[in-house]
Amino acid sequence: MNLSFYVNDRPVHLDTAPDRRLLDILREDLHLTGTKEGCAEGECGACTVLLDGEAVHSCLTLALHLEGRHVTTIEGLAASGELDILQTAFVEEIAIQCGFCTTGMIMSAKALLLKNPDPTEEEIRIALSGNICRCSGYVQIVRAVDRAARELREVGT
Amino acid sequence: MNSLTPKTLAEFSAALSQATSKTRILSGGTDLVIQLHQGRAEPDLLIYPGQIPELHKIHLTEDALHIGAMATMAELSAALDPVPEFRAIADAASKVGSPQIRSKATMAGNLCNASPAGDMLPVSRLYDLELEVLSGDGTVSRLPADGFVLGPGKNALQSGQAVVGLVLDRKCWTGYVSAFRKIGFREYVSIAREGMGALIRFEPDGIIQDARFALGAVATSPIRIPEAEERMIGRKLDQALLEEVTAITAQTIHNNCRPTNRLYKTEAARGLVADLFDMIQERIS
Repeated sequence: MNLSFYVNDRPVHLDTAPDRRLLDILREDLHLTGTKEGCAEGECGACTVLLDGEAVHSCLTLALHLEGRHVTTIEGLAASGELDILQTAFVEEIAIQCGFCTTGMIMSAKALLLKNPDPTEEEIRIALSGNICRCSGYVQIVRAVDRAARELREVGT
Repeated sequence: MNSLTPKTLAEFSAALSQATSKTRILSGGTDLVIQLHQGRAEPDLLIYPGQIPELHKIHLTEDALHIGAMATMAELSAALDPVPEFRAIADAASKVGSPQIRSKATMAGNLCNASPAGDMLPVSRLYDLELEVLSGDGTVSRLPADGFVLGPGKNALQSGQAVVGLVLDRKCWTGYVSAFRKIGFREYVSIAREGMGALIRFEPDGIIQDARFALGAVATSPIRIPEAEERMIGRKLDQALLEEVTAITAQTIHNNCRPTNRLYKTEAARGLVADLFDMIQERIS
């Protein structure tokens, strides 16, 4: 099928199979390898990207879902070459250990902050409930999202 | 693989006229994409109706609720949380999978997928929900939720048919309160071990006028509990009633679930019914 959609605000035109997963389009066709494949069945959240601003699993999204839609990947957060406030907060709070879950965590956090700039700790935990980290523990990750939210509010005021 | 992406209901119907028994309809994809990737589904044709605008709408009037087949769990939860009689649907939708799943998964897809653990199956049985079904010849018919799920992964649709909407009467449920509670291995991102919905109408003095209960993840399809429903009428929501309803629910679970799960699921009824009564109590006070 001929597919036209947007990745990180840039138009993309592909001739691809309708059942090709967004994860494979990103990693193999567009060489955007920041998005990771974990479980491949929507359990771990490592492949999370934004689809029209909502967090989705790129492993469960097909080319058929994408026509005309806007996908944002971790690379899109630092498109200007400068890290997003969320990325900086993850570094500052040492919310990364092996790093495999990090891009998915950050994209889920991004979806939250786009809708809710002042989340409670519980709201942060619910927003990250679909993202599994097997090494760092979640304390630093929650702290990093809270810090980014605070800094974003300060920038906004 | 062939695919079709209809943009109108007429195009959807034309696409369905080409369908065979191996054709699959792609909705949010949260179940089907896993089956495709693992080779458990090998459709000859994939039809994606997500570009039909009206299928995304949730339309609530004084008389009825119409849920488009492509409306997501997140949208459903946000739209129905403030509506007491339909809040059980919001409760169930808000706990399906993770935020990523709820951004794409749909109630219609959950019913069609017909997993015994599907959270939307028991809430569909609380109301006299009907599924609006489009056929390849352009006709739209209705199927009741009661009897739609035939077993794990099996529903009452014929090949060349697709669900386009879910229809619920509203007038007959005005004044009711509702709730849904599920038990899983953890609070979030869990597959239901057991789920239960309640839809209850109280008199102003707290006497129960009418009640419905539906259990999910106990048998292959959701089950109502008529004996518990009758026991509620004319009573107040108190400890004595809680104990009686718990005993009837536990017996219903015992009679309907597989022997391997029987001990746990029967015991778990205590917490499930107590939680549900607490939710209802909180919502009427």
